[in-house]
Order: sequence, then C-alpha cells, then structure tokens
Amino acid sequence: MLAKAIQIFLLVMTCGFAILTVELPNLLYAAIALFGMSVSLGGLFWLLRAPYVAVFQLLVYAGAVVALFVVIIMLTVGGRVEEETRRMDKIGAAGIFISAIAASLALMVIQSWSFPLFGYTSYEINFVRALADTVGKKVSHLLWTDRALDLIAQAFLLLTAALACLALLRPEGSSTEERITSPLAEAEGLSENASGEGGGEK
Amino acid sequence: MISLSYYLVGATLLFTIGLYCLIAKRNMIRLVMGIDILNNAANLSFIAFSSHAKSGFTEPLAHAIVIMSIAMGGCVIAIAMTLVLHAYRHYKTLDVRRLRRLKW
Repeated sequence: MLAKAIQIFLLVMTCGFAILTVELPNLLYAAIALFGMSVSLGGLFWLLRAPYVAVFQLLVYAGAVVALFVVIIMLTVGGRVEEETRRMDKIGAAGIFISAIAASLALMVIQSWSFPLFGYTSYEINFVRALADTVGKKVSHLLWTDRALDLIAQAFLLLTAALACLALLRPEGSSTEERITSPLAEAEGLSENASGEGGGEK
Repeated sequence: MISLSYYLVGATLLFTIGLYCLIAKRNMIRLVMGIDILNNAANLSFIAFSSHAKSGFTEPLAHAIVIMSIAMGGCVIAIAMTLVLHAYRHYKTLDVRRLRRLKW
C-alpha cells in the first residue's frame, strides 16, 4: 500500500515538475524544476525494478544535463525573467489545442485497448525475476555481450558529442588561426586604429 | 505496484506537456527542455511496459534500450545547448521567432 502511494506521489510530482519546467518565467527556476522532474522519474524507475536505468537517469539527466542547462542559462540571460508576454497568442492557443487532442487520443487508446499489445510475453526467455540484483546482472550481461556493438557506437557518439561541445563552446575569436592568419581582420583592425587616431586629432 | 494505466497516463501527460512546450514556447532553452520532457515520457513508457508485461518479472532488453536512449538524449541536449549558445551570441536573443536569417 505504501509502495503504491509512493509511486502515485512520484508520478504526480513528475508531471507537476514538468508543468513548472514549461511555465515558470525564470529559466533558472525552470532548470531546477527539471532537476526535480528527473529525480522523481529516477525514483519511479527504481520502484519499477530498473536500478541501472534509475542510476543513469540520475547521473545523466538530473546531473549532467541540468548542470549544462544552468551553465548555458548563466552564459545567456542569467536569472532574468524572460520577456515573453503572458497573454495567450494564436500559437499558444494552437499548442494547447493540439496537445489536448494528442492527450485525448492517447487516453482513448489506453482505455480501449488492452495491454500488452504485442504478445511478447510469450517469450519466456526474455524475462527475468524483478529483483534488483537479478535485473542488474542480466542488464549488464545483455549490454556487454549482446549489445557490445551498440555500446561501442554509443561511446564513439558520446566522444564526438563531447568534442563537438568543446568546439562549439570555444569563445568567439579565440582560435589562433583567426588571430594570426586572417588578413581581413588585420586590415580592419588597422583601419579602425587609423580612423580612431584621426578622430582623436579632430 | 500500481497498474500500467497509471504509468501510461503519466507518460501521456508528460508527452503532452513536452508537445505543448515545443509548439507554444519561443525561448530556445525552453524548447530544449521540452525535448528533454518528451524523451523522458518515452523512457517511462518503455520501462512501464517492461515491468508490467508479466507479473513479478521484467525484461532487461527494454532497460538496455532505455539506458542507450538516456545517453543519446544527453548527447542531443548537449549539442542543442551549444547551438543555442551560438545562436544567442550571433543574434543576441533566445527568441526563435527572431531567427529569421538562417545564414551565419
């Protein structure tokens, strides 16, 4: 009974934090709400007997991604409240309308169709007992043996993303190439200096 | 454990909130947050299905896929945020409606 109450509470918290993430005018507070949503979702994953997923959720989404959001917000607008007008415009109304239709359709599907849909419960071999230790061993075995190629590809993709981030986060005009080998920039600099000196004389 | 319908309704709500964010909001950082919420909704439905397919059992393949999805989502968000930062440095705004000129 207590476990059910905790699961429902975490589900409500997740949706509540998601709404706060979208609607809070201050982006910094929105990032904090995103952190709350990720932590609640990590707790839900843990209660659903997915310990590895919960740990990844907390490490990646609640840790790295939220830290990245905070850094980017501080590099751009800081803690300022965004200028977006509070009145409902046409696009906002269309967004609510389309989202309501999508939610209604999904809820109708959930109510009218019985799950599981695909009948894959007949494959006994795919299922393991829902104990944290067993699931952990089986997931790590799956990842390292059956999905090794995916893992390697993912590692390369992560490395590429990290390098791309470093390249993109480089400050503007800091590369040595731009400073040394750009004659246009040098000429512009010289002409600016000349005009500045001329202006000073006048 | 609560029934699957609760989780599906929760995932649907999360998906709807993310969709609304993508359609209605103008701030680029908030749009990336919307993508994050959509990704989380998909992951939640995956794990809920894997845990409720058979009572007392779970399917580890879905867990492996969601772990990969989380890592991919992290990559996507990191790249999107750096692009947002560059767009902000170039246009001095985070409003997507003001990014009319696609030429850098």
